[in-house]
Amino acid sequence: MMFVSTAEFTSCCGCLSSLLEVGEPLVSLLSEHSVSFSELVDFQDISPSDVTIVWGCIGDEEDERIANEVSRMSKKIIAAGSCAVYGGISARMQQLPSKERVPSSLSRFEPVDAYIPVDLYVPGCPPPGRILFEALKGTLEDYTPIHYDYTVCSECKRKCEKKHTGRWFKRNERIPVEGICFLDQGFLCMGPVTRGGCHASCTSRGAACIGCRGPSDTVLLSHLHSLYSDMLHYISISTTGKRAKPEKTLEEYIDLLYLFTLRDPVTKERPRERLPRTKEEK
Amino acid sequence: MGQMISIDPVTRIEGHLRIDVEIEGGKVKDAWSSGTMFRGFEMLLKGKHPFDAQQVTERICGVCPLAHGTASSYNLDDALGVELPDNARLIRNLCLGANFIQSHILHFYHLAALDYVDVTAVLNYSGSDQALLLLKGKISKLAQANDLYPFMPRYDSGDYVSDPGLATTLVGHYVQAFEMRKKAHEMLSIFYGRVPSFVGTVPGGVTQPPTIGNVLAFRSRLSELRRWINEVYVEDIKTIAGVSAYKPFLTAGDSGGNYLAYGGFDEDSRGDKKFLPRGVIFGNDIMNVMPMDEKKLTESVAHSWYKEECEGLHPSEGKTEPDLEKKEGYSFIKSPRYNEKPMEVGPLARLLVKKPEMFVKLASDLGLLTMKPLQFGILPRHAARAIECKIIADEMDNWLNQLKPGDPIWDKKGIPSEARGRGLVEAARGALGHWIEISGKKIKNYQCIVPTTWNASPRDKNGNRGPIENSLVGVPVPDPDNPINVVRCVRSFDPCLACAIHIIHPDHNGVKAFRVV
Repeated sequence: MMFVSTAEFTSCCGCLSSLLEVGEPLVSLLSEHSVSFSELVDFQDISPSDVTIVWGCIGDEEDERIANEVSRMSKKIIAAGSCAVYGGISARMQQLPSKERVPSSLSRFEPVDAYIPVDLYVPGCPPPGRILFEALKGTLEDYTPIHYDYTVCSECKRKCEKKHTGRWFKRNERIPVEGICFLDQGFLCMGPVTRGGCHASCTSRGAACIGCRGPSDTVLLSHLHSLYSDMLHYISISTTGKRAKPEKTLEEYIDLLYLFTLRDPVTKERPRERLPRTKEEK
Repeated sequence: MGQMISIDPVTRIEGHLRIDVEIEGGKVKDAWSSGTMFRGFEMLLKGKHPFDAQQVTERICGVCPLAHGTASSYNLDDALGVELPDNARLIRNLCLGANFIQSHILHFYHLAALDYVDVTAVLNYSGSDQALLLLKGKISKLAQANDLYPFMPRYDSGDYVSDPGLATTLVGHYVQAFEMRKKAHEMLSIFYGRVPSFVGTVPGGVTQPPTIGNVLAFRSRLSELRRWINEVYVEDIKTIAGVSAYKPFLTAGDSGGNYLAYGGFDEDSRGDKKFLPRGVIFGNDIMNVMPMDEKKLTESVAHSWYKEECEGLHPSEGKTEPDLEKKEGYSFIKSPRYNEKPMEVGPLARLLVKKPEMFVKLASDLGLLTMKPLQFGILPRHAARAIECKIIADEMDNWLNQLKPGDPIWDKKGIPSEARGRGLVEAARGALGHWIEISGKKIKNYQCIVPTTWNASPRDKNGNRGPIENSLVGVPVPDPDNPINVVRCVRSFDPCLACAIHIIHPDHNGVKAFRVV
């Protein structure tokens, strides 16, 4: 029997909600192990734990204090969700003009591993429950969870047609045709640069990928080493076969590109071994 | 001055909430509710493309992203002048309904039920039901290991349901509820791809057309859920409400008698007719439901950590500018008011406005309607949630019948260079409003007032307590070391703090300064 815990920083509880989705297998797994601390039970004092899942980005001093304590008490830490892995949506605060920023004590919004070491990364906003569950189970039972090194495109069932050459459309600008690749229809879709594992749930329901699982391994390890230019590069290759000029409409997309992985500078500054990838590659 | 106790954070709710209560003579004399997190999503949205609002606001909360996404879509629809096709309206209703079901089940079973049931009573179960015996085996294994998580520990109370048969059945339902919640989410993802943080609704419509296949898949899950809600959820609530030890909770926890419902689930394309009607009730005068006037909505920041210039504004003009130095501040939650009065929002408010037969019958069976003055406390709030879950699930079947495969699902409109919009919907936890101002095709201002902002709001400029604060006054707390009744009362509102604000700040001296005053 091992101790499992969860800790929450600045987050929306979406990752917890996603994990609970698993249902019966989760209840069975937890009945074999023991919960040490979690927001779902009454007991929240941080105590020794074998595996701790953390979600949310580090928002302020209090988050940092909890993170350090969790790190001290836990043997292994799983960072779940784009906030914990990349800073996520809250980190967009960093983009605000400085006069509109919140007081400095409230404006860190950094990924968890900027403060404490992390053993396993599970990106996604939120990560699908089964992937999170698999990561937890794997860590508890000491096997390596599946590494999703492929992109959303490889899971998407939409057909590729003639390459699109005109201007790009914003996500809701016109009605996309069912069953045909979004990029070929002129919609920017983050599929080619986004980590898979989600069964392409968005593109199969008529909406283009917004990259919530973060960059794929190819992008992370690319020589350009800037998320924005990398994504642009790979998307233009998979559409026109040529490197595209960053048109005006594409630039407008910067918000969506960076919705979950805003911290381009952080990724740039991180040493390569600290890039958020799964365990076996470290 | 009575004895002060603080509960920080209140557990088994969504987000971080701190409650300070003053206890005198075995009862709560006064209460302060502090939202101790800050996220400021509204600031993030300034200058962004209006279509991004929906994806961003969904991330305000991982438990009710549906409500935010839907409110944001209606908000944009209003600003763009969309005429929503029937299919899109129905699919939005169906998916929001599925979200209500999962949220209500999650709240009652996984967040609130353990306040009423003694889990150790399962060990004395002597019946012969195989499933319950299996559960007993699991729990006794945990008990032998001296580890009853996630069921224990918690505040001790002498009045838990401890009849072995009943307690075992209830704990069994706790486990079943995980599966039921999963079913509700599966149902949702038929149209919306995935939950939380879905993709299926966009300004102007939805992205997934109805087909015979997905209607069938939806209906098969819905039928199973309807059966479970009828036979298990509603019955469990009736059982708990009938426990004689809990009689005081029928009236204790009344929030002051002001109720507000924006109304939800449109039944025509303009949203004039709603399945859950719009209305306002003042001073517990439940027979006199007044029409809602949007102009009377304001936000007070007298005791919130925001700058003075944010005071008293209509949400469409609202500002979110933090001021941590404010002496009178004790919360990151603003105080929304209707006609300068604090209003309770949520299932109880909605059902008091709608008055469905089943709810009226239950209230009269429990003797609530003959009381003077009328009071609706902790248990009626839970009961309203269960009954609402049932009537929505039943109505969803009718909405499924009205879907027309092949008809349009999207009314495409361009972005005007100047426009204002608002989207008022009902989320599982209560009235949710989004307001947008578009200027130069970009977002100039975006404001949200979420249900927990109404319920957990601090005092306003007139000194009126927020609904949760008010409901705590008079709640019996015989032993200050064991404030179980305080958390029972707070949890009955199903507070969701991630929505209301964000960033933990428990040691903020604002709270202490306020206490000295």
